[in-house]
Amino acid sequence: MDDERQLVDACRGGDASAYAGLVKRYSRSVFAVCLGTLGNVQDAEDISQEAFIKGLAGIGRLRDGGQFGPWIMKIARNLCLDHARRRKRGAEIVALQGGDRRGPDGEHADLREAIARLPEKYRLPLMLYYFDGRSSENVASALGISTDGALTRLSRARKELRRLIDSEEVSHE
Amino acid sequence: MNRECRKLRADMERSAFEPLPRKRQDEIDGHVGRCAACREYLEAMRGDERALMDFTRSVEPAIERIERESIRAAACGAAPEPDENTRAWRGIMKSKIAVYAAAAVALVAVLWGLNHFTGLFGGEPAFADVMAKINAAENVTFRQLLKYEGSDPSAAENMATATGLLRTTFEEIVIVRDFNKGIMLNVSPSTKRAFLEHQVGLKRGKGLFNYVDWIATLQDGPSGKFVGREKMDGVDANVFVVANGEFQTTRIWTDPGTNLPLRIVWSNRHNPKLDVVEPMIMLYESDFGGEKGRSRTVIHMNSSNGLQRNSEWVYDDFKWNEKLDPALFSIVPPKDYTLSESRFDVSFKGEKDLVDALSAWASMSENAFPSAISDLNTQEKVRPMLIKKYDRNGDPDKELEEAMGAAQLLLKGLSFSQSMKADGNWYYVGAGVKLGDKKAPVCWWKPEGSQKYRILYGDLRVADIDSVDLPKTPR
Repeated sequence: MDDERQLVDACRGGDASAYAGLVKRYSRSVFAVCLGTLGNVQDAEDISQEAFIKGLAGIGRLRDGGQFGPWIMKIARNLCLDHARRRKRGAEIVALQGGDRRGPDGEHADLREAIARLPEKYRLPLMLYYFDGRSSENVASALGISTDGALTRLSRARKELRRLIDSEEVSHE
Repeated sequence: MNRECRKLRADMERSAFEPLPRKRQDEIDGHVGRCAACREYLEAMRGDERALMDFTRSVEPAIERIERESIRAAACGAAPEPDENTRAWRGIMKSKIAVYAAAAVALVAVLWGLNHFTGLFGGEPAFADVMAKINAAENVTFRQLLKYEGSDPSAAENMATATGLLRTTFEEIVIVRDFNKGIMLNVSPSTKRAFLEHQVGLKRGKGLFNYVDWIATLQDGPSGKFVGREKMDGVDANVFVVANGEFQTTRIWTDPGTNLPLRIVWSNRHNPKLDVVEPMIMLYESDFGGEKGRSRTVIHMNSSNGLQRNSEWVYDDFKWNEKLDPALFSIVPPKDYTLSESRFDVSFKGEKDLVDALSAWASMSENAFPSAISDLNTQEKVRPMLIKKYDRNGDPDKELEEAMGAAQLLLKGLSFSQSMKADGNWYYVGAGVKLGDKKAPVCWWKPEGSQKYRILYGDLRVADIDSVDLPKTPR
């Protein structure tokens, strides 16, 4: 954590290279938050990058350098919520123009589709688990819930994911 | 599906994220063996796990792009927002001329950035990419060559899985460890003997493979520094160096195509601050009336700051994500083997380990404390004491196991003392002190980050003490 404070201090002092260390440390967590919130890999990638750029711009306002992780994840989460609101409005316009809903292509299409359709309360813990260290304690800490609560959500998420994949397979047949 | 199936399946789902208590896991295993529907359910769960892991791997390039592009943006001009004074200056930027002038400044900044930060995005490989690949792997097999100064090198073959299983073959001995269940099976085909060790308090940690020593070293230490390229196995391998403290260095050669290790060399230099950094006690079966020529050893490899002797551990011949036969990781002893079982508490309890060790020592030495803390590991002193206490002309196996348990206790206490000594915050004055002496100090130390010292007295009481109140020590 001291190491993290030093990196944050160096960034505040104008050393942009120090930001690389912070980006590498939190890229997976931020991506997990974005994918967990948005359910779409492409959007999650774009918003993650935006979050890191915004994070660097605002790093002077971060009071405790040791709290960079939770802070950058909060930025990512807020950007995702903004994006989701914009997307919802955009989707309404597309719908009015007669646009169709396109599913994901390529590898793991069924799984990606199912992840996208998973309720956010399940998707977020699941993505945090798989992209951020595979630890239920990490999930609990990121979501501010008990480890037991995190485990419950994770197991329900897996169950729901399987149900969605199965229903997807049936609808494709 | 009956009620039992429903309840077991809920726990099966949970076990995908956290190991269950052993008893419950055994119940599930037993039930799955009998119930075809639950077997199918378990298979489906495993399929989901594989699919999710595959999916995680498939989006690794997206994460790499996030890192690359965010770092590039930072280097190319994105910068912390200015303070109030420069905010006023920003108002001037609204004029057209100022914007053009600013564009020129930005261009200079970009060029400067490119020049200054080439190392970040201009082709130098990132160690984080290597760790990401390691952490995303399902399994790895590798060879391990241990070279201790003054000893012949010894080689072992290893297989490790991300699910917490490790198989090591050393000469004819096969050791299989299940880190989820805390079980270690040691099999010797030539003697037809098997040892099953139940390890209580084993913590696997958060990383997938962090029970593999070299992966734990890379994960715990600072990030690896790229130092250049070297030819290895026909490829221009990327070379990284990780310096873990003053006495440990790890050098890693990775395949630039896969970002996975080709060779790792972990070098340990002797740390002169420590008197014992690799606590070890060896006992013989014959010490307790058993067969001659067979020994059992308790070793504590808990040092992250050098070892007792200069040593080099070489890991190579890596193979990643191959199809491994699950039977290779079976922890069921072969039927026709003679089986011995033991139970060790391998958890670390900090100063309680020290109290337990000194208490155990005093109980074997007429209530005296050791004359030096390193006595806890001195073979010539410890072995006769253990034999005297545990050799009761009974079952040699049982007595040996009891003695090994006591040896473990002594070494855990010693490990604690050495970790304090490494920071220079340890003092031992126990020579001549008798167990029960409330006023006589035995030792004191300063825990990391604490303002006060901790002091242990002859009655095994531990208390806080200010540095000004510490006992006087001879210079």
